Amino acid sequence: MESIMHDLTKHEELILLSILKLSDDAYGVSIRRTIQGISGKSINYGSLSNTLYQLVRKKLIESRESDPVSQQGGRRKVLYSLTPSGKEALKRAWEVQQSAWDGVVDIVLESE
Amino acid sequence: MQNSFKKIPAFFSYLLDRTISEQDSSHLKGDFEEIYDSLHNSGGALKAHTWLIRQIFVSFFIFASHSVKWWFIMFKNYLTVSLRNLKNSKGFSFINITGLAFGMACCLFIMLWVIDELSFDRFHTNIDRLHHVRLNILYTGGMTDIAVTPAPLAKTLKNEFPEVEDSARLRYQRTMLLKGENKAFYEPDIVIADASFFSIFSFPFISGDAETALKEPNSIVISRDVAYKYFGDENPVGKVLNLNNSADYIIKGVIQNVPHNSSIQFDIVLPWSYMFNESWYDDDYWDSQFLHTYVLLNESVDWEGFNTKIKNVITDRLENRRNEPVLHPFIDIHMSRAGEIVNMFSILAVFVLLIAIINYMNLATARSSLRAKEIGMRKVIGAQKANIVRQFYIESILTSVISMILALIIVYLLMPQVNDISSKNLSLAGSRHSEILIIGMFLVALITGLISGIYPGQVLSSYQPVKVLNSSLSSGMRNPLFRKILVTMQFALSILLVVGTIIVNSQLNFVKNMDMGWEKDDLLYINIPDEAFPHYAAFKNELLQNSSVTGVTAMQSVLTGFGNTSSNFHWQGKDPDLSVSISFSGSDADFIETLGIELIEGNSFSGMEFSMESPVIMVNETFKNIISDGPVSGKSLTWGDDTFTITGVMKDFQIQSVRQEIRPTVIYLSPNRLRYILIRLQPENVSETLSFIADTWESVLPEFPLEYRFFDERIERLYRTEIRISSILQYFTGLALFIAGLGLFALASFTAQRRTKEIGIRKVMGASGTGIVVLLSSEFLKLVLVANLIGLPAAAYFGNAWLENFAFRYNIDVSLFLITIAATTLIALSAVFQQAYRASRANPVDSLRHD
Repeated sequence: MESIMHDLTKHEELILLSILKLSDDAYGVSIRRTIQGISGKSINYGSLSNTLYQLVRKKLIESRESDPVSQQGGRRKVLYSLTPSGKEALKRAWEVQQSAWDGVVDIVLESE
Repeated sequence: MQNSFKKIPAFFSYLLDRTISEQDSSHLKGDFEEIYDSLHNSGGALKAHTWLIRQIFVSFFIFASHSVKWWFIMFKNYLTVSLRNLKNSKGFSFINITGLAFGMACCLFIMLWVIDELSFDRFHTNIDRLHHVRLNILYTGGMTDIAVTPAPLAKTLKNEFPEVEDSARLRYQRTMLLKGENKAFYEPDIVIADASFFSIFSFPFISGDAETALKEPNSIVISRDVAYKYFGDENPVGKVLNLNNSADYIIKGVIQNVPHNSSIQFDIVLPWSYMFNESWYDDDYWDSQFLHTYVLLNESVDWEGFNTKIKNVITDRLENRRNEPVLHPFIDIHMSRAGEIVNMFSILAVFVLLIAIINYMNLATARSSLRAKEIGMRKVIGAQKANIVRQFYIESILTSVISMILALIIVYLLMPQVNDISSKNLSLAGSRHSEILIIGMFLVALITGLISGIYPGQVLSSYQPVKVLNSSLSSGMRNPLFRKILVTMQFALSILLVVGTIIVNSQLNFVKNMDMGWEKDDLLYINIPDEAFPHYAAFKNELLQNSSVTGVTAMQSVLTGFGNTSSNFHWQGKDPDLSVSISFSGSDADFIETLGIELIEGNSFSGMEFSMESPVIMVNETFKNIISDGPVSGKSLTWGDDTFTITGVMKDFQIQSVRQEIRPTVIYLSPNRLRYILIRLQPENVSETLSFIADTWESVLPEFPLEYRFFDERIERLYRTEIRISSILQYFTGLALFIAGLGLFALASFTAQRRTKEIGIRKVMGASGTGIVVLLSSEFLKLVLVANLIGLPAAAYFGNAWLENFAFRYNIDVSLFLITIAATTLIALSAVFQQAYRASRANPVDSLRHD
């Protein structure tokens, strides 16, 4: 549908995948934790926040406010979820990944 | 899951609130709290806090840089607009900036000058305890206060009063001939001082020791310039200087040149023992006052209380006399002399600066109608009133800073002239006060910018966009009145200055041309040292051989410089309680004739010989009236131990400047101690006569170089202060008129512009060009008239007050006021006329087109 498709950076890809994994509980802190769990990298909150903002602008994800939470004085978290174009972008990333690794997976993965 | 939810400490929480950008504040903060909590639980308080502080730091940094960036952009816009405005109205901007710059330059010069004046004498270490002793002479009917004191006072005060730490005497010596190392010069700035003089006062020594330099009887101390004059770069300590072809003196010390801001000026100091060379000097005589006494009080002595204590020190030692010594703090001396001028100039500076600032405000408000549209637009786009206020303040501060820089340039360029007029050594970087001055200057610029920005900033910013963008004109009705008041004030101030200048100049002319009671033209005087005096008779005879020399006489004190007074006179019928201070001088027999003084009674000394047994004296009219109502010729007058016969009464003549009343004066026939030879010449061929005099002198007195001066030059110098005031006043007046004229010019042009529509209608209705011109001009002439009404009485009041300083003054003329009115009217007209004329020629079609 979209002729101009944005190629995801690895960073963005990780974030989108984390959001999918978290489904209803994807907000700043949890996304950060998830990424740390997947990649082992601890990204700083500020850059995550920025990237999330950019992704919203690019309409790859959308945000909504949650219901008040029981702790922290009943604050409302901002939850993120994928938009259709976000899913498209991920699909494309997967396709690119597939064709890139095609034929050489074995060589990379073979044990010495 | 959590033991206890750790909350972010309140302080950090507050910081976070302030620095996180508004878009994401609440949920970001929530996320932060969660992370903080988990960190705290997993890694401990330190880890959590470290993370928190880092986050805050980063967000604060971003916040700050964003603010700066935006503020920078806004400022750039204001700057651009300000500069564009300046460029678009180049003419008026130039007027504005120039006017302000000159006003500021004036202010700067005055500040520099005042700082210098206030710094007088402060270099003495003991300055807080130093005092000068004056003498109050009480006589029937009043009191005189003089600056000189008797010889024994200094040591008496020191010996008999524990409050006095030290004392010193100082006497100003007349010009003497100094010879050293084959060079000979007449030195005028010689003083005689006690050895303690250099202990009390701080005149730094280059070589030699301050405490002991004047202890020996034949020692002498000289300044660096004098040392250089005779001895070049060599250290002259130990070398010899010869005085008046008689005694040799050994140089015991060399001091730094006495700085210009010292009220005691000298180049050479002789020890007090020199006084004993004078036959009349008596170290213990209480009844003659001719030297200065300075006193150093001990710490924390109250000098005023001390004055009551020493009141009778002299009176107790004299009969029939009440002379009371009074201490005055030394630091006050200069101000008591110059304070009046310092105040005057300070006020002057404020005036001129005020005029300049008023001008700027005037112009700024006049241009307000042009900026109204811009303000409307800005408000529409979203500017707050605060933004617009800020804009105008930035604009006016920008202008004033540019003016300040220009003012600095002006000061730098004009500094040499100013130093000339004021005979000072001012410079921008000179004193240690210059840092304070520079800071002060920028404060002045800032304040000027702020003050001049008030009207445009406050009033203009409250214009409502709707009104402004719809109609084409919007200036409120109050504007004209306010502006008119401004211009009127400017002119009033200028008038004050104009009248002041005229008064000072007239008084100066009056004084210079006044009848002194003696003929001052073609009269010169020569200093003759005592040692040379025996040759005077021969010299005089030779001179009189030449027909170009019409008169020769000799005097003890030179006219316009009679310093000596005594109250020790008695006559038959004198009231024993009466005590008067009499000025006196000795002279030779031809005094009256050479000087052309009128005798109202009796005879002069002409043809008489001096006689020890029957000395003769002449009194002036003022003194005669004190002595008796009838004739006094032939009567006796006792002075101290001597009894004189009065030969005649002289018509009152000026012995000092016209600032002072004529004192009772006596002239007595004296065979010696006459230090000035006065020679009257024919007005033709003066230079030939002068060389004749020089040759004659050479033949009679070859070892003494000749130095002569003409009296009219001397009289000029007497009024140097007034002449200086006059020229400075002229500059100021010119400046003030210039600024006021510019102000009026600008005002006129904008008024004319504003009224183009009205003028167009008038012309259509049939008004003639001339009629328009008259209409526009008359409005401004009314202003000038009002300014005159305010300024002239004020000027008359101040002028009179200043003239009070002079015992002899000229009468202020009505013509003065008429001239001022005429002059200001003329200036106003010329400022207004061009604009009025242009407005009247405008084509009504153009101005009415837009309706």
